[in-house]
Amino acid sequence: MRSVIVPVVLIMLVGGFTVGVVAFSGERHDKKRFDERQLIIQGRGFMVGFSVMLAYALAVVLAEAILDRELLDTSVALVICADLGLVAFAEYCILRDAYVSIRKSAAGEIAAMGILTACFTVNAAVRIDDGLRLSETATLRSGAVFAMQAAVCGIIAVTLLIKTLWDRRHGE
Amino acid sequence: MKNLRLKAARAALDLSQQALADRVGVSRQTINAIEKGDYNPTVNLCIAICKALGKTLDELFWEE
Repeated sequence: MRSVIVPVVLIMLVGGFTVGVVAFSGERHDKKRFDERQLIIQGRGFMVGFSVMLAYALAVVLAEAILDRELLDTSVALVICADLGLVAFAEYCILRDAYVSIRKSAAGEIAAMGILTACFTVNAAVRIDDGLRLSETATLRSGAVFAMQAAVCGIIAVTLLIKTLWDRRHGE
Repeated sequence: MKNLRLKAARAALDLSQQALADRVGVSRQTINAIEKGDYNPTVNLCIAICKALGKTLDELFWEE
């Protein structure tokens, strides 16, 4: 197991570096990144994401109270909660064209999210036997965390890709 | 309500939505939303659009 850690960490470092280059290349820090409409939508997006997190927490608490048993341990509950909030925010903004900065291209953003998805997937695959246990209470190990992050990045990348293709087809 | 005057003024200068958006410093989708009437821009953005198109606020945004 230890022998695969170094290549996996290297993949993560290369992936992170690539994402950083794609994300910040051509960025002019003296100019605004989002216009006024996008900022308004992002504000609403934060509200939507936070509401989803609250609804999820309430649902888990209610389900555990009704079933009278612990479904998720704290770490699983927290990671899913954060991921759900992030996905809700991202989807809300993507569908209203407020996710990609006006200084960046959608293609670069899709590439960055694709690379992140691949890196997380590789890590999850390497550690898959160390992952989520669903027999009784769902508990979290690193492999499951990577799988969840891969899913989040993958959902965002796919939505962004579909939205971009849709916009190109039904353009101006 | 659709802003057809903005669309006409942009077309008269043979500008695409993207070209106007670049001049004004917003996204193409924001220009599209203004033209479709889905978004009410701030006065600052209205002024920037008017300057880019060589029009007055009345000509582009005043509703009779």
